[in-house]
Amino acid sequence: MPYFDYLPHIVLFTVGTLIGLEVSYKWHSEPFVNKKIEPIPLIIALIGGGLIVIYAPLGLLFLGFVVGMRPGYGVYETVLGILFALILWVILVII
Amino acid sequence: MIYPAAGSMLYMLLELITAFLFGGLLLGLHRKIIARIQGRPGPPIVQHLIHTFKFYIKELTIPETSSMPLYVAIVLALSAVWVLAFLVGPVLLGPFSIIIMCYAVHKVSEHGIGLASGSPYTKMGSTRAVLSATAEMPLIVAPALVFFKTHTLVLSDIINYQILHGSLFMDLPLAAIATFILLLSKTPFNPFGIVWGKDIVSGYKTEHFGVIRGVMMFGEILGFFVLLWCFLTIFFGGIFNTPLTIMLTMIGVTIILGFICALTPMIAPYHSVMIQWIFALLALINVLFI
Repeated sequence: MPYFDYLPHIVLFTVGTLIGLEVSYKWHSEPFVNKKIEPIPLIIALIGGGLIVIYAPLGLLFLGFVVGMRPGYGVYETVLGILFALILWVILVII
Repeated sequence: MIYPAAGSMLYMLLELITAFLFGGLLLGLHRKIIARIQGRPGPPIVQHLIHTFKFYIKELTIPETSSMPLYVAIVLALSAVWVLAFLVGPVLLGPFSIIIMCYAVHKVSEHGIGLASGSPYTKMGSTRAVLSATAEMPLIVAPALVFFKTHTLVLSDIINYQILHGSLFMDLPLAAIATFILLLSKTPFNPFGIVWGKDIVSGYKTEHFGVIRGVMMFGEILGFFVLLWCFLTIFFGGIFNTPLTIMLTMIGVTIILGFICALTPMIAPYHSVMIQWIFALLALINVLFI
């Protein structure tokens, strides 16, 4: 099995991080102060976490968005998205 | 899914793009982890790739003091050797000895890049590249031990041996540790990275900007991917032998490397060489178990 089987995953994740970076700088132009969980990135992370079990490249696009957000932002949202994906994977695949 | 024929140009190109993007993300993750451990937000994970692409659209400047043909050609050589190593290793599972040869040429390229620009900083980096080349003993010891154990240096045969007899890490743990030290010494911000030391600005690559720096970074990303792959395949080939398991383990190893790089200061040049020699000599103890 070749490595490029995962090229769509990597490309979409990379595109997601680039979009996340651009958008989050539009949202937050102020100096870094925010340490709260934001609703929109959280929803995007949960969508990504859910999609990753169904169609991984698309899920990685959404997860990449929160991973790639401006440094300091999107950390908790990323963790919650990955946890959601893990829980969903255990429920749907393992059980 | 329809695949291009294995070994065709398209097949290799797709593999190359995948390895480049994945390797770039790994190096971005590496920087992120270092920053987090040091209490900084750090750059985004995609930063290393952005940084690489950025250089392709920057103006190319060639110092007046440089030897122009060497200044350009040696960087192309650096990238070319890693492309060759990548094709021989992860793509074709060919002879490991060719990868070792590529690694040796890579050290020569580092030396040449440093000498080509004429800057005192790059010359110092180039001198250190030669000094650090003497520390590459694990690169000789580990393959020799693997050969004594498996009677082959062809990567596909080494993988098959491990599938039948278990991972070589169990038989050659000290050789694996020595190789890990070698891998660590090729990771950015590592304690043995005397050739890129900030005491000499950026070492041998201080004067390289523009597209030529982009090409250099492309080669370095591929090199990181190839070295990680070699470490995992040669010592853990019995467990990690599919692209998915290898790529996931690469993420894990990168995280470990990030922790080490964040928590260790850069060692003085002679100590750097001595420590790597000690690990190489320790690896020789594994001869007793063959």
